[in-house]
Amino acid sequence: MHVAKKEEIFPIDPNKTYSLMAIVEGDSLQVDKDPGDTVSSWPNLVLRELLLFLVVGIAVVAVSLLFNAPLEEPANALHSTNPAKAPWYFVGIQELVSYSAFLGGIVAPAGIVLSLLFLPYLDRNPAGVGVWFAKERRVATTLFTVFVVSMLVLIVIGQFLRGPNWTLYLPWK
Amino acid sequence: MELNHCGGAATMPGDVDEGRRKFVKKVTVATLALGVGGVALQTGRFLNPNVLYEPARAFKVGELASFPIGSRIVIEGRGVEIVREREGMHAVSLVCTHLGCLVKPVENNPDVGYACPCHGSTFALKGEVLGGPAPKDLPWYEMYMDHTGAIVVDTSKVNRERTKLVV
Amino acid sequence: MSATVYTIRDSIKNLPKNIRSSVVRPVEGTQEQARAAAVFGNVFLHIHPARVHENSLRFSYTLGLGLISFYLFLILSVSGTLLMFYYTPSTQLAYHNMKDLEYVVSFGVILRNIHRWSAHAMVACVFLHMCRVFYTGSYKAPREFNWVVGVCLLLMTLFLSFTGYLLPWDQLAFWAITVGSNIAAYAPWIGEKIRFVILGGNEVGQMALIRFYVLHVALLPVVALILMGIHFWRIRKDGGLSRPAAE
Repeated sequence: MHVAKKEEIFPIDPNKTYSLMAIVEGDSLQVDKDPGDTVSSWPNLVLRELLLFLVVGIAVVAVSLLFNAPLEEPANALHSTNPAKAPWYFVGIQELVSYSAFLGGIVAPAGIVLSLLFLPYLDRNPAGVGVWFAKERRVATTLFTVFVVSMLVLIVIGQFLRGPNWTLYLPWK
Repeated sequence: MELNHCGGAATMPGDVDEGRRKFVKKVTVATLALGVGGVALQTGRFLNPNVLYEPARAFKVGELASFPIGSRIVIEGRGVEIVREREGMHAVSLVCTHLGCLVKPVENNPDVGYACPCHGSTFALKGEVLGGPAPKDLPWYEMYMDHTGAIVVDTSKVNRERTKLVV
Repeated sequence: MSATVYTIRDSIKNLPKNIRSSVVRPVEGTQEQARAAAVFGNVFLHIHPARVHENSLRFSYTLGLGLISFYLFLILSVSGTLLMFYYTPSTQLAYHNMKDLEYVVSFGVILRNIHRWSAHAMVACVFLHMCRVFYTGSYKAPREFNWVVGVCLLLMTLFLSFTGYLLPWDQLAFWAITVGSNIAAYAPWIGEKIRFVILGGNEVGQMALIRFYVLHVALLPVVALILMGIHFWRIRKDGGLSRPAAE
């Protein structure tokens, strides 16, 4: 009984080149909508992607031809470099660590990661999706900009303004 | 839970014994949790090295005669400095308590004994923090004289009382 | 009704055509159908939908940052695999391998440059991609989970870059990892233990080098690849790239 009914809806047809993957409830983005604002992926999207790959590849090779990756003396556990710096993306954290190791090294990074992970569950306001710097999201935009700018400032201080003994100095002096 | 007899008239093919199903589900989930937890725990134990191919924590630093009174001698590669004063001698760690850089002994300054090149922590001659981000004083290590008369420092034992080795 | 005769002669004559049609399935139909078939008939392209919204093509909307990050990952995988042929994760040899790459190996220095600069660029691009997604509000429902996957990918990128930092075994590497692992040791209760297990000892040495190497070339790339698969799959399942609500 059951099987026969199934065959009625989805008859086996040797010419069929598609198959039923799932039955979903509710409407999807494409149900009952005409493909008005859409274009075919080939060639519109794929060619743009290939073009971008070309640009990225050329840029990487060009930079690699012009600048050599740094390589210092062999590792020596007997002599600290002065100053010893973490990779640039951790230098902001290191700058915080130089004020307080526990607050800057553990609390701040953990706080950043946790707030990023929970961000979409805390900001539930659906307004302003799909627009750069939407007017409805001024508070969120401002807060995030403060976060990004402070990260950048810390990285710049740590990377460029910290000299021997981690003292502040100005690079042009 | 009710026992079903195989082929008995009481159970239809479509009937489901909910109690039995719940039990099987519980056992399955428990076994899975036990397995995953056990694997995670044992992987952690596996990754914890049992043998370290590092220099021994206790090592000879030399005869007493090589440490004259008033001298501060850095033991290269061991991260300790032997300080001998009139009252006795002690071994102070040169590993910065902040982030593990090697602090440099400061000469000719009665106030500052050690300065860290990485983040600018400074320590007094006895290892107390003077400034910078370091959270703790530089520890002193246990030291003793063995039967051959050589001075031995054991970096696995911290000398919390900061007692000097009197010789 | 005459049966078709399959002769060896005809087979050889039609060999190129037959090979071609077995690899690329010929599509009969409208141009639209052929274009759709070009996407879902190709294993490398089938992650795309047959049709995309015009907004997804606007470069000024995405700035291509996610795709650039992925391309950099590909470049890093290829250049990294090539570098592995000349690299030994040993404190005795690692630094000499670097010098060999610079002076002895054909294209060694440019390969190392490509790997190093792409790694820096990838950290920057992944971070900028996150900024783009934030400023366009693209993490909002129904895309919350994909944002979470993206944050995990950012962490993977940082771990990959950090583990790779030790491998040249020069002063820069040694002291950066010493400082970095000591930051981890400040974590309450388990910090010292974490540091001990990451380094495989009390100090940065041979055990730390081999651990960072295995993480860098095997474990972390596989985890990153799986997360990327989920990330790309979810883009389509969540309805494609975000765009302004239709009027």
